[in-house]
Amino acid sequence: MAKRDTSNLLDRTTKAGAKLSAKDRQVDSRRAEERGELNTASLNSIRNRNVDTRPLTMTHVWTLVESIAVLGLIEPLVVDQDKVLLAGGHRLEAIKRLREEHKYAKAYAEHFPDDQVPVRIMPFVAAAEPERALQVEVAENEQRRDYTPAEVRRLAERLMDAGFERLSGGRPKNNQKFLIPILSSVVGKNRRTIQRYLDNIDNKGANIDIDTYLKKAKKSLETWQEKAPNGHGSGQLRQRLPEILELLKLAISDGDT
Amino acid sequence: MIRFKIAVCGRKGGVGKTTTSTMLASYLASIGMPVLVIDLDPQSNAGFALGVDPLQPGTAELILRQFPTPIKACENLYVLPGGGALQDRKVEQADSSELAFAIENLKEFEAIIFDCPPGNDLLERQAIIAADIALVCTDAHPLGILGAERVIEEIRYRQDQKQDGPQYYALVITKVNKSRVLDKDLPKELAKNHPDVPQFSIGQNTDISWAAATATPFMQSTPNSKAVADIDALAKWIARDTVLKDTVLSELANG
Repeated sequence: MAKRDTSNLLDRTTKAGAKLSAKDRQVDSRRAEERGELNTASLNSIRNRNVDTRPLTMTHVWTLVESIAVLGLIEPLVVDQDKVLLAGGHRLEAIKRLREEHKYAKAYAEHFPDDQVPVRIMPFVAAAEPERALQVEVAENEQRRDYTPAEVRRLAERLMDAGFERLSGGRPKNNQKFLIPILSSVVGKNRRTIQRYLDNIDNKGANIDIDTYLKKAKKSLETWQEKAPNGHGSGQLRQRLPEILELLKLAISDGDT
Repeated sequence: MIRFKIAVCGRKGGVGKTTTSTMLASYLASIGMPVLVIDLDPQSNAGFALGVDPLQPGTAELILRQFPTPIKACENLYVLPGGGALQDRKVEQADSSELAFAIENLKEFEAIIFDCPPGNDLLERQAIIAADIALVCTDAHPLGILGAERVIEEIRYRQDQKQDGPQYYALVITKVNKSRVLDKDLPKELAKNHPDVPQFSIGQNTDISWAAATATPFMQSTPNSKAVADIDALAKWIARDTVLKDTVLSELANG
């Protein structure tokens, strides 16, 4: 038997290995996408970013502590594959304070059993892709989910059940907890919007909106009338425009009264 | 204090992962270092080979935070057995860094050795993420090497991505019998492909199989075996050239 030559024996192995590894990567990223939807992670496992892009405001943290104690974490934290925090620094800090404060022990255990915190896991690693991490952070802070008036009212009910009061103005007396500021920071809307949602006056708001459309229409048509050269557009429209504008004017003044 | 967290891995079955894990564990224990073997294999061979009940609660419970008690095999040597529970859905769905967090509570050990399972990259990853040293095992056969290449690729990728994982890794060629042509030549070829990866070999030796067959830690079974030199070389590399870069082992050995 001829002597066996082993010199190139590993070439095929190496090539096959590279292909299998590439396939491993694909499977991995598919898994990462799948589990990214929504998940929980242990509070201890969530790591802070090395560079804090936004310093924490402690008053905001304490407001969140109070709201999380009642409502739990409504918006999950956003982390990368290594559980490095991408967005939700204030929320994370608030959950940690909640855990430390004796009086919130029950609330903490109820909302975060086994220290499990709701997270959204993004399919990448911040250390390897810092720009992408920054994009996530900015997007999260700029575009919060838009809560509907009904959702805000439901949250308000739960907060009021827990002893938060709806007082207008004035300093809080001892042990008084204000509803509006806390709701405002939870849903990321200003206090007047919250007031309006709770007063259920959003229908009135809708009236104002419709008037605005009419005013806009009247103004655009007037501009068109001034600027469009003769022969441009329908002659019939031009003829009947004064009549239409008059109708618009009437409709608008009707809405005002 | 945990000094060494060592993942013994290789992806392919039968390439000497459990043998390397248990021999190294027995060796370190014999020189006075408290060692814990964490078996990630549903076949639960490590516990069996070290003479403890392989059916006791072990690694699955550790990952699920149920705080199992490590089982003593002999002086300084403890085991958390693997077992079928590692295939439970809960374990499969556990976060891949659960093991890394769980071992932080095991401070009474100076070395933790993860015996990785064949085939299952999810359980293997728990160990890879928790370890700072990886021993990638293969025998002198292209299929074993294929598995080793995949693990090395995974470790390098994690290093590139700055993810948790072993900073140090070495190849361990097992069951080496230099009278066979592949055993003689393939390690050299492998070294050409991976010039920067330290390579160790554990020779084929009946003493090794005997220890496992009699369910006795290797150093209790045949402390004067020729195979001790192989595992000694590996232990010295771990002590001198990896995380600590000092001679803690020789201190222990002399003291």
